[in-house]
Amino acid sequence: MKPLVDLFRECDAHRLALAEAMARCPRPLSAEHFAVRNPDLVATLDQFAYRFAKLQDTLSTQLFRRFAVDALAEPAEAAPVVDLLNLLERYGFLPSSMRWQEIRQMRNQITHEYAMTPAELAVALELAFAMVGEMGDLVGRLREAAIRHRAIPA
Amino acid sequence: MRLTQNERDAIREAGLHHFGVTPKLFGSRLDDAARGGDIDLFIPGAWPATEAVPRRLRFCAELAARLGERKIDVLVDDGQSSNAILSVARAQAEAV
Repeated sequence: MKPLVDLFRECDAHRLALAEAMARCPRPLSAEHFAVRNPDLVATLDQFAYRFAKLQDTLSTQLFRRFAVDALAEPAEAAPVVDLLNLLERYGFLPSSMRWQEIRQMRNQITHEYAMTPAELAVALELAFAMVGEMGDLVGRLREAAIRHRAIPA
Repeated sequence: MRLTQNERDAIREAGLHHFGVTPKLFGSRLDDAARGGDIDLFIPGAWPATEAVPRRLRFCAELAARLGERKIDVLVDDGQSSNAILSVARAQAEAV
């Protein structure tokens, strides 16, 4: 498993790429934006979906576990992901483990070219933009706690 | 219909919780002779995108929490669009 400090750096790189993609996106998105193929928008949204998935994966599959072990001193080396989510909810880092599952479902739906109508796609992406903010806040809370517990340098 | 009792219970309850309807099954899982395959679900009604998208997220999140991560595709009827997959779902889907 990678050191916690490297995982935070990875998250920062994904968040930067997400912010760059969102800055290039027309807002608010609507079904009309998908009525005619726009190659720049397609490329921007591909970047967004890819980095959304990477950030979600880095947090779900690596950072949560490393944080629980290094910062919270929990015996979570081999815990199932659902147990990690419940643990982070109990400590107050996640508002609810079910909300994290919703963000996970968003990751699956925007990366698997899910059969969505243009109207659904526009709604889904606006929700996903808000979820980027939630994931950013979460990373901030975890980083502060990791510094406080001396699991990463200040 | 190739779904376990546990899968049927989870799908039915999540459908009632988040859409107020019993989801329908379509696609390869209706074929008792086939093997494997995604679970294709259809939510009947006339759902605007602003309702369909967040409800589907919560529906899928509940299923993932109960059944583990599975390949489940959920088509929500908006009551007006027409395309090949919607036509198939509207015609052949059976209540779970």
